[in-house]
Amino acid sequence: MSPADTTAQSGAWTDIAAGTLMALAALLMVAAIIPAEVSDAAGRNDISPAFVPQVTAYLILGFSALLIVNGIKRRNTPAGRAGQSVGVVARDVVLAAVAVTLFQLAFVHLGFLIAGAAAIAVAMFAIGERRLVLVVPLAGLAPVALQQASWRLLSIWLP
Amino acid sequence: MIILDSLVSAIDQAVTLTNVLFIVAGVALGIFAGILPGVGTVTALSVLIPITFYFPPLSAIAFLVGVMKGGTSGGAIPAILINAPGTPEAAASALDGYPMARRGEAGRAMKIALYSSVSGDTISDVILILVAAPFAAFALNFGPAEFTAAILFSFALLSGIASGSLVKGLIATFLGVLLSTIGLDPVDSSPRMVFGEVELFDGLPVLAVAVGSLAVASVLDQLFDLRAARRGSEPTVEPTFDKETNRVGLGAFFSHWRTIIRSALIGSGVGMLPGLGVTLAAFLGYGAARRASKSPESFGTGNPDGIVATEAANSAVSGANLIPTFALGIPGNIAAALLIGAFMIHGVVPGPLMMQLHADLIYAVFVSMLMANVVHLIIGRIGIPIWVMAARAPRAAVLPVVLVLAAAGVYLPAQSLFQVAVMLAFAVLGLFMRRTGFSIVCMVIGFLLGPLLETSLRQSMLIYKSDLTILVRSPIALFFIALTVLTLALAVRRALRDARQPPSEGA
Repeated sequence: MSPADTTAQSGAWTDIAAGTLMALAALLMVAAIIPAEVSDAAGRNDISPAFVPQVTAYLILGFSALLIVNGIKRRNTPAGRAGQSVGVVARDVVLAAVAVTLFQLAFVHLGFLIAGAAAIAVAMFAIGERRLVLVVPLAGLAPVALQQASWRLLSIWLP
Repeated sequence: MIILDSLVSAIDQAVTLTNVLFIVAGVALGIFAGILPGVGTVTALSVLIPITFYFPPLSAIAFLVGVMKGGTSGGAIPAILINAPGTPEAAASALDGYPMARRGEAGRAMKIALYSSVSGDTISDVILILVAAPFAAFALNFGPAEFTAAILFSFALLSGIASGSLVKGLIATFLGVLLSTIGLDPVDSSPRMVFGEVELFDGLPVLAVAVGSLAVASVLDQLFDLRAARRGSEPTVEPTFDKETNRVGLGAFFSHWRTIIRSALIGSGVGMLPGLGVTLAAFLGYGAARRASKSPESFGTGNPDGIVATEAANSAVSGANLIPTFALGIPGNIAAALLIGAFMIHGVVPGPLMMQLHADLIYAVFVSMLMANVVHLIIGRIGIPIWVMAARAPRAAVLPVVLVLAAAGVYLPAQSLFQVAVMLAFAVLGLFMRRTGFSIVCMVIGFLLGPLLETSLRQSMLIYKSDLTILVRSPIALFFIALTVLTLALAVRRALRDARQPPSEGA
């Protein structure tokens, strides 16, 4: 596994919840998005543009169902009870979604410097770093350094 | 002889001051990324690829290769000093490196790790140089049907072996393929799932997807972990630089030559197969050295052979994984997948034709790789006191800066806030996948290879008039289909066996 692939051990209920979410997303693709957004007209001897999206969505649906069934089977085993709880996973993902949305809004409306400084300061405070002597210079200087570097080296202004 | 001639003519192109400076910068940044807690090679590559858009193609690839090489060995430094590997592939280095550091041989352990890394890397690069061109020439026999079968095999290998769970691996891979279909249809150019958004006509931006799901998701994951743990800093061993204790003579180092060659071959073998990661190579190398040792009980107590085995094996992956990348356009691992993205930024499409159309560039890259090994040795050796300081950087200070750096890196090439939004969306998806045990690597490689799979499949349909039996009539395609079935069967057998085994205590 590569560094980026260090995945958490998941319990049975996490598998059931994740499988359900994937299955619902695949169903949405098959039933609504692909028919509305992809042409179904195929050329001679060709497959339609919808073929690969449809097949992959059906495969995701099928394997998600299998994941749910496996999760239900092992929900009462010690291994099935291991890993993070569904609540913790859901809380962290929702928190992350809110945080990145706020960052994007700040980037668009307030600019890179303010968004970057706020992101660094908030992240450091959130993980318990309270030393202002570390937080303030890093939050203040890192975005400025990046903006100046991109301007002076690449002639691109980070808005 | 042809390879030698091509290499000689590429020297002019590669040995320039600019190129050397880019390699130096790449290796130094790679070592830093490997050392810095929570960053690692993949995150560094993801964040730096967008910046290379502004570099000349050779310098860009040489720079990224330097990052790859430096990152692999950099991870060993915190493993040795604080028993906390900077990268997962360096975990086995901690087994013997940390005990050595505790007995005052940290400097010696770091030197052995560096020399082993460079040795393994060089052997792997030589294998790449010797094998890539003949392999690419053979791959010219590949038609659309053969490519379809080869990609299906790499998906099976990825999902069945590289991912912890076959079912989750397959879901992640197909999710990647599904996401890759967004944009204009490759045959008739009709829009697919673009929701009227012009910026989606070219599909989801590769870099935003890679940086978001790999780098930013990893940083978010670690931030949440830190928030939950709020743990103090790890105990650091103060390295001693006493000349006598920490000296590593050439003779003493090369007394490990059997381990170096064995591990380099293991690492190269693992690197050549798509989907098998660097970490696997490191542990296979370590295990093989332990089995071959006359004193296996000394492994884990500070035996230098353990460090040699691990570092030579994990570094040997980086050269060999470019063999399928250059010859077939199929990445050996995620770092190679990111390199494909970098090649594509510079208008070079990896695959069998690359060795013909861009032979000058590829051989110059080969020369640059060999140069990077020399640079790696020099910088790694001179910089040991600096690397020791970097290993003490608190994660709380490093991770938030990586977040902002990623946003800037994705914005720069296209100067598009839309791409930043895509990156952030994939960061959340990546976090969800990490927390629920889905392989992000499978998704990213599925995303990268999806267009090639679809195009090859549709070309096969057009050429063979919708007769898909070509997949079992062509000997090469049949070979890959057989391997695909075998890989999936082995993965299913392993899953069934794991399910039958009673769980261990505390599992």
